Parts: sequence; structure tokens; C-alpha cells
Amino acid sequence: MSTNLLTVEDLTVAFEGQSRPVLSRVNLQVPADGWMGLVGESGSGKSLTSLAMIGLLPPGASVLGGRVLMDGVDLLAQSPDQMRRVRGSRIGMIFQSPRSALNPLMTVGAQIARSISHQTGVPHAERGAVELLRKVQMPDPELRVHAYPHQLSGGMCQRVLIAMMLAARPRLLIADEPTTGLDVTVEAEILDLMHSLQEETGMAVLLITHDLGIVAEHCREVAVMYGGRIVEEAPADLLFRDPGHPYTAQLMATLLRADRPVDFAEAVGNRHPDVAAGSGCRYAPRCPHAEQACITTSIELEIAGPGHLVACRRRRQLAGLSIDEKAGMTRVGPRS
Amino acid sequence: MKSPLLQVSDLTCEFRVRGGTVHALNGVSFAVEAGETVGLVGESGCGKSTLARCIVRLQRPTAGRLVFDGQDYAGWPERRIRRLRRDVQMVFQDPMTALNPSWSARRLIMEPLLLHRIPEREARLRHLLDEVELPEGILNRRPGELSGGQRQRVAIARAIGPRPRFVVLDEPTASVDMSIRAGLLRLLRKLQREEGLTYLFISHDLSTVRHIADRLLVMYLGKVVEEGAMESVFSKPSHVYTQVLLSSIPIPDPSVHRERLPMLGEPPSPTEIPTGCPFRPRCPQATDECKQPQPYYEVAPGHRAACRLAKPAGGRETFAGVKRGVA
Repeated sequence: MSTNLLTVEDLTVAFEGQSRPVLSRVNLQVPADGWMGLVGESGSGKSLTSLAMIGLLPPGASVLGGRVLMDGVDLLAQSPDQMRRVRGSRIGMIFQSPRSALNPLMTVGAQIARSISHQTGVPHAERGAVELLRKVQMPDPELRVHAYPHQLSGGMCQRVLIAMMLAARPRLLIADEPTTGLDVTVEAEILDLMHSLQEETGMAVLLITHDLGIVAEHCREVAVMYGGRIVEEAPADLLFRDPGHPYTAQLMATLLRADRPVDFAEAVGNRHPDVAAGSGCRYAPRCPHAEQACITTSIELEIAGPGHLVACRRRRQLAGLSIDEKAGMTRVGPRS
Repeated sequence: MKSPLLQVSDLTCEFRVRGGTVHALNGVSFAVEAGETVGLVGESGCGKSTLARCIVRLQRPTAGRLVFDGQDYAGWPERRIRRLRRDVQMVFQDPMTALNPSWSARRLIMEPLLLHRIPEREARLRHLLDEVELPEGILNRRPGELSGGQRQRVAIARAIGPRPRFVVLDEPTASVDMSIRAGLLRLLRKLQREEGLTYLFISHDLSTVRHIADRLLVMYLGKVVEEGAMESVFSKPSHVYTQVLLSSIPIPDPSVHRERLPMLGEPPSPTEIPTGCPFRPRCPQATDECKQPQPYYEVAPGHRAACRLAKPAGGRETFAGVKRGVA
């Protein structure tokens, strides 16, 4: 068993004035090295989970319960000052739209140097900035160190942010949609770069994305979120081959892949989109296998196999069904 | 041979900017047959959206011809273009910015019916709702009160309202979640069948394009570098850029390991177009020959690529644009 670097336990977060929590008892175990994917559609709570982990919840959101454990310390109980130090050193972050994460009025070199100084106490770290830019394979690093963010492409800005993150030598990198909005060739370059840096440093990467192609390619472990809850957690090869939760099955059934044509999947079977989700499974109204009890009875993640957790009441009855059957889908011919 | 519904020939579009001229389209030629879906892919800045805007004439091209149903409308004045737009419609990438946020769905869908004096508008409206699979309950809602998928369906209803023959779809599924995407693609295909539509489907997402389009155009820096039947291009990508592009797509299957082909240097600037093959500065296989303008070489019937490596042993060239394939 590999050890976990960070453990999220029963994390519950709510926005002010909303009766239902936006994250509801989220449990997540981030392994100490390698890539873990956190997937789900927009609004599923994947970004909010990561923000809660690092103490950067947006205004109006507050933690109602749970713990985030790293090195035996509950990060949720730390003071803002302590958290700032954790973010600077032990946990690094990169986000979508890298240009907006950079200061438009400072050269990228100055921003990286500041990051190095912050970590090491060395006052003028400009030379270190060039080194780091070289490490993230920035073309012409001696030249680019003097550039302002607007003079760089989106891919180059993300390289700068990765360089700043590297200055801190974090043990965990949270990458929230790091390549969304970049061209596919640039995306591949950035992910390959992150991959080689991960192998070199042995850090853990928590990759938040909606792109299952990237997950399949890079992640060893995957957690799937739906409606503010983790519905499934499994090794990647198992998750893609034999998903346990009908929602995960639906994600897999509607995948389009570029390496071979597949027929479109179309929903069949009973769904109850007009039924409001109750205290049970949030996916129940959209689930082709839902029973009345799925809507009303609360459900926890249960062990379905080695390293495989599923939060579905009907898990046992569904075992053995194909992905399409679990998803309640049928194939429609390409030209029909 | 039947003439195509849309014929684009040597289309050029330039923009003057501070510090030079942006060559957004640099001699683009292709044809679209009635009833087919042509996919158009390329990276940001390659000219995809400019091409879309030229085809619906939101943008006047600098030079070249745009022939729809036998008539060249590239230089038509705005008044005549309005009548063309009944036949040639567009769905934009982000319905949140393409739809007036203070209008109801009813008014949004009704507007093109009024503009194009469609008879029996109320009946048409109901029919359209049915077609795009939206409940009547949404008619009084504004775009902000609709889900992403519903908004895009309203945008599609607006486009097909006047019964166009040709619809340009500019990244129509880029703004929605994966679970919604499949439904929209299925809807677009159904509409094509029922309304006899012809599509130009623009996307940077090759996995999506592969599943919706019959033929593929690959653009790089304002030029079509490869064109052909979808399966032909995927099974035999013949321009080095197409090969790099296809090798970069992540495959959602942990058991598949792909070998990514490298590119040199940095993304190009559309103000400085290299001579010859536009991909030359980034191509690991470029030689001096690539500094010369590259003709299209026929790889398979209807499949051509402007790359010296696509040159067959006998060297059969097809010339820019007009001819494609062997009838």
C-alpha cells in the first residue's frame, strides 16, 4: 500500500444563505507520488474541493465540517499565516488562464525571482529565474526572462507559473484545468513537461480536469465528483474498463475518441429529471437504475474492490453489466 | 459533375494592425457539397474563425471568391448579403455572448423569422422548439436563466429558423459539458437529416470532429494544408502538421499509449508568414524544397496534402483549390 500525502475527510462546505452544502462529506486520499485525477462536470465541486484544501475558499463559502490532513496536521485548523506558508512551500498550484495569474506590470523574471526569494531568502534571484525557465523548457530563457506576460503565449505563461511553483519544491502540485484553453499541441507539451518534472521531483500531482483523455494518459488514480460528492474512486485502468457508478459509466459511454470512430450513445430507460434530488444520491434523478430509496436514503463510499470505492446503493446488482448497460445507453449508428 | 453548394477559391483576408499586416487567410480554397458535413480544424490563430466570418460575410474578404449556389457573393454589398443570410446561417461558439441577455428565448428565436419574413411564424416557432428538443416552458426565460445546453439549442433554433441550406457551426460544443456535448451532436445530425442542411463544423477538438463530419480540412496559418475524407485523413495523415496534430490528441483509454510527434520552435506570428509551406519553421522534416510554394499532392481520391512528403512516386499534383479528387 502506498502512503497518502494528503487526506480529505468528510469535507463539507456551504455558501452563505444556501440550505444545501455545495460540498457534502467529500473524502479523498491523495497518494504521496504520482498523478491523481479529480474529474467531474462544471459545478460538481472539484475546484471548490481543491480551494478548500489550501484555504482559499471564495468569499461567502465556509467549511462546515471535516478535516484536511497533511503530515498529521489538519490544514483547516491552521491560521491564514500558517496556510500561506503551506501554500508557498508544501503545496503548489497552477490554474486555468495562466496569464491572469501573472502580474501584468512585472517581467516574468522578476516574478519568478520574487518566488525564489520568498522560498530561499536570497534577495536577488534573477539568475535563478533563467535557470528555472530553462528547466520548464522555455525557448530563449535569457530573452524571455525580461518579457511581460502579454508578450508571451498562453503556453509560455503556463510554463512561467510552473517555474514559479518549482521554486518552492512543493510535495503536492494542485493543477486545476492547467491546459484548458490551450491548443492541443501546446497542451500535450505542457503535460509532458509536468510529467517529467513529476518524475524528477517525486511530487504528487492532483489534476483537476473534465478531460478524460488527459486523465487516461497521465493519472494512476482517479476520483469522480458529482453534485458536490465523490461518487467513485479507483485506479485509472479499472475506472475506464469497469466503472462502478452509473454516473461514471455515463461519462465513459459518452466519450468520443479520436483514434477510432464510435457510434453515439443515446440514453434509454427511465430517468426522473423532474424529481428533486433528496438526501440520497444526487445522481438518482438522472440515473436509469434509480429506485425510490436511492433518492431518499443517504449513501457513503463503499469498498467495491482493491483500491476501488463506489457510492451507489445498487452497486452489487449492477456489477457485471457492460458500461453501456450501467449508463443506460444504447448505440446509434453514425449515419442514422 | 454536379457543382458544389459552396465553393471557396483563393480566399484571402488581411487586417492592418499596428506593426504590420495580419494575414488571417492566405489563399484558402475548398468546396462543400450539398448535404455533407465538412469539419475544419486548426489551432487558435490559424484563421478558422475568420474563414467562418467571411463565409457568412460578417467579414469582407480581401480577395478571392465565395460562390454559393453558383453566385459569387464575396463582394456583394450588405443589402444583398441580407438575402443570402437566409440561406447561409451561423451558430457561434459561446451562446452567452452571442444571445442578447435581456431578450426572452421567444424573442430570440422569433427575430430571424421576422427579419426573413417567414410566414406562419408562431407555428414555425413551435416546430423549431420541437426540433431542438426544448420545452415550451423556456420561451419566457432569458439566456441567463437557461442551462448551457439549452442556450446553445436556442442559438441553433435561431440559425435554422429561416430554413437555411448551409450552416456554419463555430465550435458549437466548446462551451458545454461532456455529458451535454453528445446530445448536441446527435441533435445537429438529426437536424441535418430532417432539414437537409449542409454544415461547416469548426472545432479544435478532433475527437468531436471525427464523429460529426464526413470530410476534414486542416488549416495552418491561413492555409488549408490537408483535406480529405475523414477516415482517409485519420488513417493516412500526410502533411507533417496533420501528423503532429493527430499525435497530440489525448485518447481516453489508459491502455493506449501514443507517441507524440515533436514540433520545433514556437507558435508563429500571423504577421510574418514564411515563404513556401507555412509550417516549415516548426517542421522537423523541412528542407530547402519547402521554401517553395507547395502544390497539393493527391494521397487518395479526394484526399490531398500540401507537403513534399505526400508526393507520390509518380508525382501527381492537383492544383490549388478547384479540383478535388477524381470524379
